[in-house]
Amino acid sequence: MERNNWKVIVLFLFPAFFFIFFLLLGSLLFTVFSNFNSLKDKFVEVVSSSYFIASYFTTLKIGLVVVIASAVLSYPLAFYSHFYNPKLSRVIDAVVFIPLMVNPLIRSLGWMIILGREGLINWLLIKLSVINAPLRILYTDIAVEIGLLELFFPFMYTAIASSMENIPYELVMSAKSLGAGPLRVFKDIVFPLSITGFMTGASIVMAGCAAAFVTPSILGGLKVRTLSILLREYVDITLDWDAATIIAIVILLTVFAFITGVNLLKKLLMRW
Amino acid sequence: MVKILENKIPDILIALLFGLTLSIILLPVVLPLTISFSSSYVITFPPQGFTLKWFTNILLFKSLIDGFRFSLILGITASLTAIVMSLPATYAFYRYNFKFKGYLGNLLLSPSLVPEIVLSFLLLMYFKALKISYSLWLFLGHVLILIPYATRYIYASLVNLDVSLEDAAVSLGATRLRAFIDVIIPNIAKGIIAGFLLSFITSFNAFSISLFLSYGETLPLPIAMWNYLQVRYDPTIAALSTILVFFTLTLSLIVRKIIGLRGLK
Repeated sequence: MERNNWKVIVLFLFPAFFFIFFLLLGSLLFTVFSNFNSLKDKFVEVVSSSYFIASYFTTLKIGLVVVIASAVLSYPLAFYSHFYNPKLSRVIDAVVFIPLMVNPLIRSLGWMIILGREGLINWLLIKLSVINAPLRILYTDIAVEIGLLELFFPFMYTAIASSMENIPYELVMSAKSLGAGPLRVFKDIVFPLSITGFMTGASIVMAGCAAAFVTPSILGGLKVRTLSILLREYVDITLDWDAATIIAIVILLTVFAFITGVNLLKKLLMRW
Repeated sequence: MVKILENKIPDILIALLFGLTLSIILLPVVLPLTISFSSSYVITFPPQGFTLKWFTNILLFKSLIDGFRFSLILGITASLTAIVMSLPATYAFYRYNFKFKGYLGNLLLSPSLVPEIVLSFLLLMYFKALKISYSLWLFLGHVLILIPYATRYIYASLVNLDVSLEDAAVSLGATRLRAFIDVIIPNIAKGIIAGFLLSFITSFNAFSISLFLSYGETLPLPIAMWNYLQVRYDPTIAALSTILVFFTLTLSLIVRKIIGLRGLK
């Protein structure tokens, strides 16, 4: 460490950290502490309302469904493409990041065109005479879950795929030479050794779903009430700033609980 | 990578899964494209006929045109500011050791860890209470959410930098600051440009922060589109989406050309 450089360091750090301290920490501390007493009094009332409890569970349920669906898609694809078909894995790597560059509003519009009353799925099902009248998919939990699956699949996939990259080939090869088929290789070697990747993916997806806003508001109409939708309602419709602040804090705590919880679990697993 | 195992998983299963994944990823991006040429007045599937009228129809909606211009200006100014703010800090992190480096590093990335909707709400309350001029709200909010992105991409470009260049400049009599401006910055220009473009895309697409912090008549494009969608559900919005998809994908292809595929992660 070059000691005489501290002036340069402070000068270099100042602009970015000014923004972080002034805006991020400033707004958080200000919003919580300028109004601390009334927030404290109101906390139990907001958190115990049936409105809040219902939307908390909706949020968790949607997150869980998306975690499971994205893992179910990611595991076989990552396993197969990594250990059996490297060409495919390059294709997936290139494609998986396209949606992240596209405006979430446009992707939600795309899902409206797919899931709507006169959308792609209903048109297909009616054409194939599976159903007579269009199904209601849009503005239900399922629509929101599908939209979020698209949004967060890339994160689950990369988390799982990169943990598979750390598995030594010798291990897989020796299992194979001892006669293990793909299922056995997956069950006994790849799955246990990539579980931390899944956990990382799950925490990102859970946290993302708990805080997602565009997708539930467009694909859920106003019928799917997640925490972020509730927050928006308190800000925009009921103008109840205290309740909105409480919801914002609950979302923040939930997200951090997922991330730190999973990190702790990973550490425990490592030791064990 | 070598093919190390014989293929025993049924190909058809993998093909199905791959197809399903591809359609989940690509269909919502591709479908607005097909609808934007449909001659039907509402958005229905399958698209009917062929017309370009929806593209010219965009021009009739002042809110969309103004929104595009506004988002463009906001994105450029906020990304430039975020880059200028984070460049020296990122370099200090790369080059020097100092106390609390780990904590400060996390703090620098923290705007991307706090959910955007929570951040947007907190900033709204804060700006109101501090009576900060409305015209600055969106700019400040966007700069804040862009700092972690800018930092990450600049850091990635620093990894290939030869730091002895700076020491050489200093030993020849330049100050640290001079060496940074004249020697380091030109050497990482590519990373800076890529960081700028990706920050711009992020700002251009940002939704929650734009929704909470916009005020008055002129709205950022995503919010203008959202308002439009709540009133009309016609192919005009699909046509605009098509243009935007090409716009942002072209930008990200340029980034990919500059820094390669790995840098995008």
